[in-house]
Amino acid sequence: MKTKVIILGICSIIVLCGCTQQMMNQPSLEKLGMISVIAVDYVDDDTMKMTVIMPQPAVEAMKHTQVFSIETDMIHKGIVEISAKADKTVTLRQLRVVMFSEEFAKKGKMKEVVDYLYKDTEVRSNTFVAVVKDSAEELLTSEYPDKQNTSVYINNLFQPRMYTYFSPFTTVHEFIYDQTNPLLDAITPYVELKNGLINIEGIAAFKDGDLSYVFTQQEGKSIQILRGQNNLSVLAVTLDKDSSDKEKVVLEFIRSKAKIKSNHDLASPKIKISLKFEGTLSEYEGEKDLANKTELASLEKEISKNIEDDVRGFLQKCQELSIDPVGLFESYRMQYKGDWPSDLTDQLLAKAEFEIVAETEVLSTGTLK
Amino acid sequence: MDVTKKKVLNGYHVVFLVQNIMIGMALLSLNNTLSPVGYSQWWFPILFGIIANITLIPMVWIALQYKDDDLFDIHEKLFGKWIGKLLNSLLIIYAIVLFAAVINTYLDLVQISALQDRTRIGHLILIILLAVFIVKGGIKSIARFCILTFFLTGWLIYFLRWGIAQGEISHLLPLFNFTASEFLDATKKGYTSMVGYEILMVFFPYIIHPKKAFKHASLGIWLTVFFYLCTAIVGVMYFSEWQLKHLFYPVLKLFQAVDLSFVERIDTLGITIWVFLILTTAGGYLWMAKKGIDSVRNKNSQYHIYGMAVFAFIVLNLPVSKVFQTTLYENVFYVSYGVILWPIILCFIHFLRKKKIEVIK
Repeated sequence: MKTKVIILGICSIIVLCGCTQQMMNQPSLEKLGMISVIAVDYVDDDTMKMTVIMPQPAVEAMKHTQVFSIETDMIHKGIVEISAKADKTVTLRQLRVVMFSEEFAKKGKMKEVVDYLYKDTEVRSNTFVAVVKDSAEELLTSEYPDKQNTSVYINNLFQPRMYTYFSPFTTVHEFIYDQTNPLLDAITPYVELKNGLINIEGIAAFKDGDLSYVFTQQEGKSIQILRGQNNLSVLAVTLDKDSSDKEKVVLEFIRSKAKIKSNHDLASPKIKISLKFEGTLSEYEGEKDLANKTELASLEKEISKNIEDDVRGFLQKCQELSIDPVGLFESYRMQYKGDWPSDLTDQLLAKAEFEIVAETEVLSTGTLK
Repeated sequence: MDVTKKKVLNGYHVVFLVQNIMIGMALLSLNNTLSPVGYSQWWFPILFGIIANITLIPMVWIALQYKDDDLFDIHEKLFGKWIGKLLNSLLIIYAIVLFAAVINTYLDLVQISALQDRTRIGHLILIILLAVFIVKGGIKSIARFCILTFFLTGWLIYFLRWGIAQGEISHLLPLFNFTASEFLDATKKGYTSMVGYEILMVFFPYIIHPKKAFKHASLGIWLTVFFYLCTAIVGVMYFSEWQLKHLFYPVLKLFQAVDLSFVERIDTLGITIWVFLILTTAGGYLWMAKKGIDSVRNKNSQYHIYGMAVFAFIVLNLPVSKVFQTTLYENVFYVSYGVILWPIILCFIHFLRKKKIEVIK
């Protein structure tokens, strides 16, 4: 009986071979073209220019990065077109960064593309998105001779590092989260090609899906502090900017804490923001004797005052632009019954009063007296 | 008609059987199914745990009245041979469709997220074969596999850490921000994630300490609630309400948030490991179907497992429209609500019958 079953099994396996479907085989790793960065530029309302780069693993190749550029109306259609041009099966599985030109973002097209990427299961939701001043394509086609290859360079650039905490480094998930959260407006890093290198110039802020304003690095710091970024690495402050006895202070390894409290009154909203900073003073230019406790305390007060002014200025700008990249009214939502209407955020922001209290503590002034 | 039964399940077996059969595909889409209540969803698993624990009482009570009988035997004793067999046949269909539903949803997920360019037939055959292999060893084999599954998959909860770090704890408030209809909608859809503990009525005669079964099964339920609660809380923290509503499998996006230097695409790893949870759930229902056939045919045979597996394979490959399939697989979970509440009616009939016998005496 057992032998018969085994013989029957073997026979069926042999015969059933004829039933196998002629499928496309899964390509080997070498035959896959892993797109690592996509740049999207605006052509017209229906068309975009899509430029992609893929690392070239072949040692014999002269260049270590392959660049393809096409005009398309849909991302996936573009990928198919690029596949036809490339000698490899193109995939988005290793996509790390997607960059959009400022014009494309201003036309409100960016959300559609990011939505598509979020939906595509091939793309990781922690792929970074950024806005580029002028042409995004130029960033990918430019030569960076002192870099290993463009893919690695751009990928590394967007990895959050100690000295770039002022920038939000928005991922696809975060962009969608901000866009769909009625209490928040989305932000992304704003980069520019300057002297052959990519610089993070500021923070692009979006209103209802359109790029609305670009905040400076300094304002970016305020956003990060208010958004609850605990490590700021470095905070450079210039005190009494206009007077002749101006002082320059650099605080390092700062731990910051921001608490946003509200009066829970929708008719006349009042927001109290308490900020707390701790750090070591690494650089100082000025007349104060830092070994003297009283003078150090007065310096701490001045720094606090300076931060308060910065944050106040930033919030005023937010009110003028009607943009809330921080989520200032979250504590109102926590007590709000029903779905939060997105225009309520604008209404509250327009009439909100802010009270900002900063407290700075210099933990040490270095090893020199 | 009682087939010879052996007491094989100890306390641990009961705990993990209940817990692992309950956790299947539903956990992956839990945040989405609870999305009608928005951010207030995070405490719903606790509510579900309480409901599950309450509905467990009549299950265990009726089973304790018929210590050596499973649900199929109880049906025949309470309703007579023919009605009993009819009810049992319906239960068999229920178990098979659930078996098919669990495998089908899993394979759909594998196809859309991990292996887009492969047909599913090979994976389907492999999963069914594995389920048959596990079920062949009897309920103890399934229980042991459940324990193994717990340790192989339980650690995935660590991956929620990234979601917590990037999430907003303030989303947990307000607690009751929903209307009555939203609450009912979320409960109706969300309670499907708790389905699975009703199999206790089938494996009850195999439990060594039946009196402790309630305690052990409750522990299993609350273990499930713990996993659901963690996922629901982290989901609420990490996503916006729009995302909760529109993402089919929010847990996969939580896996994608994981940032490790030595491995990427944790979501693919997660889906792959999830097969263990699918096998325990599918195995449990296949075994239930097998016991049903044993009872209907008055014959205890291993061939019933093969028969049921082939039947399930046919159900999964029926040339019916995708819409029909989806409707069938979605609605079979609502039938589970009936099965979960069924013991209350059984208890009632048991009382009536007892009184009648006393009157005759």
